[in-house]
Amino acid sequence: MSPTPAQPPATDAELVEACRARRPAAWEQLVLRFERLIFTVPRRAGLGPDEAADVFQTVFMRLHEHLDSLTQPERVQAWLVTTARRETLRLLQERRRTVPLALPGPRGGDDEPGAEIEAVDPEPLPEQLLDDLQQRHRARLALSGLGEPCRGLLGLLYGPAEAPPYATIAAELGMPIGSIGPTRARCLAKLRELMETMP
Amino acid sequence: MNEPLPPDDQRLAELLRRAGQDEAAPAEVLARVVALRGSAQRLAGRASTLLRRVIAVAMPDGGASGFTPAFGVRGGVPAGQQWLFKSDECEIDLRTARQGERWAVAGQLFGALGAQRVLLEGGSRPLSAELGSTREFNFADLAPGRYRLTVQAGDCEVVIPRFDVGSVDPA
Repeated sequence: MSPTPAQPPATDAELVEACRARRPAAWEQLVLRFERLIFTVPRRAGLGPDEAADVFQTVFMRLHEHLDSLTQPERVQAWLVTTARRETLRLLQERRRTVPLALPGPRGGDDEPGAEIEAVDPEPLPEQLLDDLQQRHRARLALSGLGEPCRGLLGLLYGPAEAPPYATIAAELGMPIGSIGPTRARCLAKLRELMETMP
Repeated sequence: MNEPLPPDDQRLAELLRRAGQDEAAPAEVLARVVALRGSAQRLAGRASTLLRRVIAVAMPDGGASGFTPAFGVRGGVPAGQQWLFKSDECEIDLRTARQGERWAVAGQLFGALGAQRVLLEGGSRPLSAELGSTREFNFADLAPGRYRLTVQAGDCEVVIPRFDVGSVDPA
């Protein structure tokens, strides 16, 4: 794999401006950038895939409507997360109204008062969780801006699949096994630097 | 085999691992969302102008504006609320009907000859319907609530920003 330089991704504000200017593929790029972040918000709150898809579509439909009137394009991520959170909570509230969870009453009888209670998570999307999801988003974005072999190496080592043995990585990336450790350290340093310089 | 990392690198590696586990949206959902802007751009490009958005307002005289709906369109819908919304571009005859615990929204478009689709938002997911041969449209199995209807017509979108299904008169 031949080395390629790191290329910091376009900023959120630049992407929003590109969408406003009707540049080809800008909207797709914007959706893809936030895809996992926005789909994960309802999933982490306990919504199923179909309901999460509803939230996802609604959020981007709202963005589509408001794109030209966003006063702070650099804060589009916060706007999306807030909208996803609000829409998720709305669906959870709707679900609580319509799907009670039957549990044994205080004395164990199903017909006792209080036999049906709602499965309520008082805070399904705490700020800490949303911060963590946004940190993950930042890491993905920074990883996408790394050149090769860093992107490939970190993707193999820390991707969703279990990391293959060094010998496999070495063969895949065409690098000596002995250089994997030092390259990994350099790549993590570059990734950290990129994350720190991202707005 | 993999030698241990310094604590800072370990934390970053853990973050990457978690980042890689976040779910992607289903492909068909993603495609629909991406197409959202694409269709608007194509329409805007065809007209060489930005998309205009026109708000339709409820007429005080309800359905008594003199138009004649297509045969069978009104007759097939159970009694329910009915309104006439009007903009410079078109009139929209809109009706709601109860279907057990759920609701239906049906309507017919007069004017806006370039229109082919109607979008309904406000339920658990945005819905889209093709206009029929008599320019009528139907949405079934809706929860009561507040909805928004958009008619896409060439370089113009006609919007009914808010109407209530299963409760009160439109705002």
